[in-house]
Amino acid sequence: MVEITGLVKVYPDTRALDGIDLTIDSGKIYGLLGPNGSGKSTLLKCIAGLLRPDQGQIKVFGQRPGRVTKAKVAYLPEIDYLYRWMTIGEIINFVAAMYPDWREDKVDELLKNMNLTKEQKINSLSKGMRARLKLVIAMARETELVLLDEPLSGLDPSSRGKIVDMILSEFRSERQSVILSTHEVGETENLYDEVIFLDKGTIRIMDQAEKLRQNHGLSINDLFREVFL
Amino acid sequence: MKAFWQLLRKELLAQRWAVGILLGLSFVWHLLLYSKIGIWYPQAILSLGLIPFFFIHLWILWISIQVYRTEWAEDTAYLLLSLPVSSWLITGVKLLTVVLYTCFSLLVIAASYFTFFRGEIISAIQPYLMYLETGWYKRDLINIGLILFIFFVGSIMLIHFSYICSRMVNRLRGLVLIWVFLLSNWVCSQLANLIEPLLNWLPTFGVDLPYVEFGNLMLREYRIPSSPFVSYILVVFGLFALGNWLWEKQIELA
Amino acid sequence: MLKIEFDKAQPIYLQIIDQIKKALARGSLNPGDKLPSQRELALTLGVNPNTIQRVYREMEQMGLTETLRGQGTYIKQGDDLVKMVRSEMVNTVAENFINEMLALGCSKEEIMTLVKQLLDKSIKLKG
Repeated sequence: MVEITGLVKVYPDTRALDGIDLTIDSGKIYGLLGPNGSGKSTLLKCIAGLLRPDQGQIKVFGQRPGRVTKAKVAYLPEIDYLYRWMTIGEIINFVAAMYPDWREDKVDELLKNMNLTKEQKINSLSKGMRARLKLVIAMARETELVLLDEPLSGLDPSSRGKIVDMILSEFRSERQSVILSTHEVGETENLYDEVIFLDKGTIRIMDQAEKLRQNHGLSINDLFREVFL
Repeated sequence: MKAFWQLLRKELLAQRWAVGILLGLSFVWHLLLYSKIGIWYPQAILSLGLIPFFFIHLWILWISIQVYRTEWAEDTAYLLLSLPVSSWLITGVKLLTVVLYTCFSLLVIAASYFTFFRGEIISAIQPYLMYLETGWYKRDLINIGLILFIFFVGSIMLIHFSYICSRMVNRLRGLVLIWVFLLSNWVCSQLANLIEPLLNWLPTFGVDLPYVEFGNLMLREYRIPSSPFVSYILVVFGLFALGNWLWEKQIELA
Repeated sequence: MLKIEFDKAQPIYLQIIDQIKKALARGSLNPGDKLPSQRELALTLGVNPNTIQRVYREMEQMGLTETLRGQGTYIKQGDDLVKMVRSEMVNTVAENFINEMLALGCSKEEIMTLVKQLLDKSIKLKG
């Protein structure tokens, strides 16, 4: 569903992505792992259509990222990107009107699982609650590709647990792929089908998670430590 | 359609403080002047009461930038730019928001002006009231109002275009914004001059200029071609379209 | 049914298969028992549904389970199966134990007496 060849993205001071070749298949959860500054966010933004390649190309569902692909991709950025002055109900109504694949029937259930109510104001939510809300908005769509940029970073254990559970329970392995970026593998260890280790803008390791465990005799978390620390 | 209403609702609510501040200040100012009735000269009060109408120009400039700037300042640009909607919907709603709020504010400030200083206004225009009896000014009001409205909306469109351009660079955005705005105004006048001859088949419209001769009101009609205005509109739309293209194809979120 | 503390350094699907076999050997799972749906199991264990899919696929290939269309996955009928699984697991455990003891340099007599002692102790403890 995603084909990336020779992707290079240059910022004034660094080469954020330095020749990425990557194919994302349907029906899998990908772990995009790497330390801060390894280019994870940049790669996801390129797929989401918020950054444009300097070299190489990206095809999402056979097209260059743009308005058409945005309708088919759910993107959860690392920062808080929701209108803070809105209530949860208001932001839900807002995004529901924008996405043709919004699942109205699903939202209430997801909010309830995340212990959120529509009356709450976004600027009164804790960091963990805001992260949970972001995930609800990403998962309440019938998309084939979900991009989650650091969905767990800086959260309390209970929020982390809830988020991992929701990714698992909402993942539709028949026709959907999830790319999850993180710099701490920890509790996401068991989620991954495929693992991509990103280091200074290049792919260091890319393989099936189970194969890596078998070949190295290490958990993904330990392998991550060994490669990067 | 649902997307349009949600976007418009969002813009209106997001900028409601800006309108509140403008109207609040204007109200307080008028109230202050109202308390000086009988103390200050009526002419001074009437003139000073018009200050909000001048101030609103600066306010329009500010809120025009504000409808875009807040999206970046609060990181909501990430949401806005990942929506699968046409850039025209987003930029159009932002433009509409500024236009609606400006018209609304003008109406409220005018209402406040006429309410607070009703007596002063009536006595000030009393001597001239006889000249207004025929209602000749109605056509002028509509035509001049329309011209002002075109330049007002055109200017906001150029500000919005300039803001989008300033988002294409990483440094000195404020400077780029001002520079592009000045340049685009210049480009507009140059291009409009080029196009204008092609449009001289468009009709002219009349504006009556009054003057008083031997105590009688006389009107002199000036015919104004509409082609300069139409060519200005075309060029502004061209730049606005370019801004939309930049929004959809070029803007990046680092 | 299953409560697994994963050793994350091993492939997860192998560990789950192992646990199911153990449950079978212990008798907490029996032939003819219905296994939870793949989705359900993925959620209770907190692992990727594709991993569970692989578990079910491998178990079917090993002849441990059978899938009835539209009804779910069941442990295969027949006592032989349990016996087989049980003896296989017992053998593996015993072999591992002996190998480790030998590697530590224990003699045959040492191992025998130690096993006897420990066995007596744990039987006494359990009453």
